[in-house]
Amino acid sequence: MKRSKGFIAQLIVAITLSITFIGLGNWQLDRAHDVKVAKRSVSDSPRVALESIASVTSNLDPSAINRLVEFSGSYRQIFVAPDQALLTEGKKSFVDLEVRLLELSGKRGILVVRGIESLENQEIIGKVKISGRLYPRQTSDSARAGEDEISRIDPALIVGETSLSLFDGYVVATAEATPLGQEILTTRIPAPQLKSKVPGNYWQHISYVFVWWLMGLLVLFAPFYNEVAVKLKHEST
Amino acid sequence: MNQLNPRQAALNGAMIRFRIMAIYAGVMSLLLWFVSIPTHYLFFKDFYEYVSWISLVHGFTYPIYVFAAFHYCLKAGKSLKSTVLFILAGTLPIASFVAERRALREFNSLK
Repeated sequence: MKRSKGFIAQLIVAITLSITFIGLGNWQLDRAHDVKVAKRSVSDSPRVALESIASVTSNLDPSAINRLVEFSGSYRQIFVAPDQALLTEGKKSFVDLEVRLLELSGKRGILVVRGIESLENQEIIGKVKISGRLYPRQTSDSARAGEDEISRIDPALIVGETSLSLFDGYVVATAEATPLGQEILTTRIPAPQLKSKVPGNYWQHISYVFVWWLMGLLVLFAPFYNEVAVKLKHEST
Repeated sequence: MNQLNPRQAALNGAMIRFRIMAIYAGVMSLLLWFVSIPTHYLFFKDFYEYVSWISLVHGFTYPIYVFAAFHYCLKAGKSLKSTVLFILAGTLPIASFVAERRALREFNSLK
């Protein structure tokens, strides 16, 4: 059967659209896979020295996030991060956190979350050995910052107040000790692994896969639509 | 109940399926746009875990609406443009209710 040029053009448009829709379905399939991988729980790797996975000259590498680290230095400045969300046993609460700037060798510094802020600031003189978990910098403010407060835990906020070169991200301390091995106690906060924020859930993305693929198939039918519709209409009259 | 004429009788099954799915898709779209999406991205975010099923159910049942709309439009001899609009009506709140009303009006005026 000979087809007109218009029909060929329609067919080309339909095939292009179909490929696009099927591609969008494949994209949703990839996202479903990402969600599945992101929500899989991963066991912790052994604790490493901070310097071995992060540096002050570059942003935090994704593979460094959630790693258990250890390092030592001296505390220089104290800040309070107000109204930080804390999830304990599934319950969300808001607390003020004590955040200190720790100076490491070579004029480098990192923000350390020691725990829940207390009214009497614990004086810690000399070197401290810290173990904790490394997190990416926070990107949204949790509160309006007053004096000696930071609105989010982000080294960019204090970069103007110190001469130290700062590591990206921050560490939630799980233990602190003096060089002699004496543990420094305070009210610690949990330091769980961060879960990925890839939105949606697996089956939701799978449902979109079916919708896009179905659209991809239907659009292939479009150039023949008028013929079939006319035929069906004749049959029904 | 009114007696159906031959054209209405030929279209009746597809029409009923389309009307059921249009009303269903309309309700699901309203829930999606005014409950699920706001709680996911705007406010009462803690509430989202209780309504996350909406987007899931809508996603899996929308293809049924697409089939019903497509079949109805094809049998009713609608233009390709109308068919596309009828199919897309299932994604917007209210739009599928409007499509259902329009289809019913056209169905009743068939001679």
